[in-house]
Parts: sequence; structure tokens; C-alpha cells
Amino acid sequence: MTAVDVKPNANFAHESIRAHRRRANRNLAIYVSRFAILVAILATWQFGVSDASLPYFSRPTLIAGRLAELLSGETIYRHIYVTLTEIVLGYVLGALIGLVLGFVLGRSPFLSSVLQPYIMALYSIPKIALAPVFIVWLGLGIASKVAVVLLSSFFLVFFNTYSGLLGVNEEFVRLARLMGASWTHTIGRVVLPAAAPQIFIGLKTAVPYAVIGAVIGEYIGANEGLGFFILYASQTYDVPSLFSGIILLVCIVFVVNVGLTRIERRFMHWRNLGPQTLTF
Amino acid sequence: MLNKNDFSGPSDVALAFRDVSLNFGQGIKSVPAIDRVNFDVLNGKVTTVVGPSGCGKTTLLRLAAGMVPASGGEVLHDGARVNGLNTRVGFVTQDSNLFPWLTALQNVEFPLIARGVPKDERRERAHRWLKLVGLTGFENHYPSQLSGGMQKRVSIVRTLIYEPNVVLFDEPFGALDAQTRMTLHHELLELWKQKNSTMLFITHDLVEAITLSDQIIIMTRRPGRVKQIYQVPLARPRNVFEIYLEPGFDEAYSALWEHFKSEIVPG
Ligand SMILES: Nc1ncnc2c1ncn2[C@@H]1O[C@H](COP(=O)(O)OP(=O)(O)OP(=O)(O)O)[C@@H](O)[C@H]1O
Ligand SMILES: [Mg+2]
Repeated sequence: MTAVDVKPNANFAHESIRAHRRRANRNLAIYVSRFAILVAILATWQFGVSDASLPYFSRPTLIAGRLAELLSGETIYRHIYVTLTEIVLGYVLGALIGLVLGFVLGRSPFLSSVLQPYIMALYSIPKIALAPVFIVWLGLGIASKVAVVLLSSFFLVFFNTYSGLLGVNEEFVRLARLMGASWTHTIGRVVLPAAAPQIFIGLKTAVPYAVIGAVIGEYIGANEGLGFFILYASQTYDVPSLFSGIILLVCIVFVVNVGLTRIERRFMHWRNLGPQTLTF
Repeated sequence: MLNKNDFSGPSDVALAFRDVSLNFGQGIKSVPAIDRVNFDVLNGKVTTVVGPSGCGKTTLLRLAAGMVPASGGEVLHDGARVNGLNTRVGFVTQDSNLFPWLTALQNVEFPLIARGVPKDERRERAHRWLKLVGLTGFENHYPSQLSGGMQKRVSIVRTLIYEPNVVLFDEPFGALDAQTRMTLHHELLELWKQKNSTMLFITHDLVEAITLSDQIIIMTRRPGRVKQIYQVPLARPRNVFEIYLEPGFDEAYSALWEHFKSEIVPG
């Protein structure tokens, strides 16, 4: 038996080296341009702010100095710890509930029809508007903020899981069953992987909402956390601290997103097989 | 007109189509896809369905696999009515339908994992089958990294690897070049002889039908009916690489073509 005998990737070595180099050059150009824009913004800020308006706008160098000062102290770490705890707890719980509910409703047309009006009603409430309610119920501590974060991240994960499941090609499911796969096997090896791209979109877009939930929750009523820190800085007209707090928040979002992207890549290696593209 | 099959008893029949009809859509919008189809797929034989595009060939296989319920009549498998997914058949679909999140090797191993075949045996069988269809070296490629013909071969292997007794093939070799196609015809017939399996095969290609089958079902244009059942007189084993030289080929071809052409040339 001799079928076609092709060696994978033979003879393409030179081509691919050249393509690789071209891509590397392009990537370099993009990174340099990005950096140039950042420098331009910082320079405008640094030199554009007059001494009269300094108390309102501060300057990058002043903020950097304050940030360094804060990070060498101790209190800021307590604030970071509190906010991170709220985000992580609320997000993980919200995502878990969203995954499970999205999954159940995605596979059960009956339940999804029954629950649809309730979910839409809950969805149309701005979650932040509920923060005062949670503060009344759960107090000024972490619990009320966890609840806000949970609710804000839940919906995005839920909707994306749900629509991801509805989008699963039923032919795959039938074929898997036809090949003898049990229901659990089919769910684990066919339904979930097929819905995974959409589920990850939900998990990733929920991150900024989780952070917003925690921070606004702290604005509304708290005595520690980065949101509290920022609000306090604003009330005392301490603009460098204010911006330092915001920068720390951005860092948190960034780190969480990088982590999630890592996990996503591991799960969805198969989706990133095309020509290399820039990742953010 | 219908030729009655000559079979000695019902145990010879693997799949029986009994007055099977299928309409798509409801009420006045209902359109018949196939109309009162009757034929038997005999155990250990290769049965081929030929017919013009859209005449309901794929629909026949989906009915046999229990993926759609019939609007009228019934499909029997070993005498039992097919009701719900028929896991006793293997189905090589018209589209490759490989799982895009699994590599070629993992796709091929999927039914073996589902059936609890131990890892070592699984690996060994998967490699052997992929080698058989010339895909050694592509085990770790994802479907999106394979050509259409390669995907097709992986999908054929994914079904044959667990050796179902009855295999449904929906135009499996359509996208392949002539050499690969002949090689696979050869392999398929070797396998069929060795395993004594039953095949229901769909094709557009009369030569392929003659090469492979014992019995050819010719369908009419849409809505599909059985126009003719033709018993292929060629002896076995057949030399698939020079099927034109087999005694009886020309007669078989012209007989089939007579029936077939009236279905593609309207009127
Ligand atoms: N899900 C569906 N809904 C409505 N009509 C359908 C559906 N599936 C198939 N049909 C119709 O049924 C008829 C038979 O389709 P089928 O796929 O069985 O044809 P086929 O003989 O396999 O054609 P081909 O050789 O092109 O693959 C077609 O006319 C098609 O339009
Ligand atoms: Mg078809």
C-alpha cells in the first residue's frame, strides 16, 4: 500500500525563515510606534501643565515619585490586598455560577424559556445601582463588594457561555454519540471545547467589569481598598496619589488579563494556527 | 420499476428501507425529499446509491443512522426499527466534520477513547490507520492545517478504526485525486473482504459504483425514488487500478448510464 507520501514542511524552511524575519521587523515597528505614542503623551503632560494648574493635573514625574514612595510604604499593600480579594472572590464565584447556569440553560430549551424574563429583568438593572443595597445588607466590609463584583461578572460569563452552547454544531454532538461516546464524554470532549472560544470571551470581558464593580463599591462605602484610597486622595486634593491609585488598578486588570490569555492559549491552541498576529 | 432482490432469508438483510419517505418542512410548505424508498442492504455486501445531486442520498444515510426520523415508512436494522441514534453503524459524512480542537491523531482516537480501548492499543491502531492512508507525519496537525483531501482521509479513518459492522459512506472520495482514490478503493475492498463488513456507499461516480459494489441503487431526480436496482456482474476480487479491463465492465457501465442519463438530462 503506497498512498501519497508527503513530508510535512519540507522545502519550506527558507521561505519560513524569510517570512519570520519580515514578521519580526513588522512587530518591531509596531512596538516602537506604540512606545513613541506613550512618550509623546507623557511629554505633553509633563511640559504642558502650567504651574498654576499643577495642583489639578500633577505631572508624570511627580506621580512616579509618589507611586515609588507608596510602594515602599506599607498601607498601600493593604489596599491592594483588599481590592484584589474582592475582585478574585467575586469574579471566581460569579464566573462559576455563570458557567454552570449558562451551561444548564444552554442545553435545556425548557429551562431557558422559563427563566428568560427573570434573567432579562436582572440583566437590565445596572449592577452598580445595587451597590448601596448590598452595603445595607452586608455592611462596609469586603462582603458587599464581593457581591457587586459577583453580579457584574456573572452576566457576561453567563451570556457568553449560554450563547456558546447554543452555537455548538449539533452535527458534532450527533456524530460523537454515533461513534459511541457517552453523554459525559460528549459534553467534556465535544460540547465544552466547541463552546470554549465564546466562553473565554465572556471570562475575559468580565474582568474589567469585576474591577469596576469592586472600585465603585468602594467609592460608595468602604474604609479600605484601592477605590477607597482613590476617593480619599480626591477628597484631599492629593492628585499624585489619585493617579497612583488609578495606575495600580490598571496594573491589576492587566495582570489578570495576561493570566487569562495564558490559560486561553493552553486550552485553545488549535485556534491560533494561522499566521502569527500581534497579541495584546 | 423495481427489481426484487433475491435473498434467502431476512437474516441476510442488514438494513432494510421500507416505504421510507421524508418531507422537510411542515404543512403546505412541506417538501418531499425522498418518496417511498424500498431496498435492502445485504449483510457482507457493498451497496451503492447513485443519483443526481439533491435527490436525497445523504438523507437516506441520515435516516439509517437515526439522525432524522422518517415521515413515513421505516428503516430496519437487523430487523429492528431504527428509532433514535443508531450507534451500530459507522458514518463517514459528506463533510469531514473533524473536531477542529483535536489533532489528526486525537480525532482518530476519539471513538476508541469513547469505547475504552487502552492507550497503547489505541496509539498503535491510530498510527497504523493513519499510515494506511498516507498521513504519517501529520499526526499532530490540526484539521485546519490539513488539505481537504487529507481531512477526508482522517475522517474515513476515524470511522473505520472502530470497525463498525455496517458502515455508511457519503461520497467519501469525492475530493481526492485519482491515484489516492484508487488506492483507497483498493484498501477499502481489502478491508471489506477481511472484516466481511457491510457497506452502504454513496457516490456520483458510476465507475466508483461499479468498482466497489455488489448492488447499485439508482435514484430518480428529486424527490428521490428508487428507479432501478442493479446487480453488478463483475467477479471479485477486482483490480481497482484497471477496472476498465475487468470482464463485464463495459456492459455494466452502459446499462447504468442508460438509467442515469435520463435523470440528469431532463425530459
Ligand atoms: N435540513 C433540511 N431542510 C430542508 N430541506 C433539506 C434539508 N436537508 C436536505 N434538504 C433537501 O432535501 C433534498 C435532499 O438532500 P440530500 O442532502 O439528501 O441530497 P443529496 O442527494 O445528498 O445531494 P448531493 O449529491 O448534492 O449531496 C435536497 O433537495 C435538499 O434541498
Ligand atoms: Mg449528499
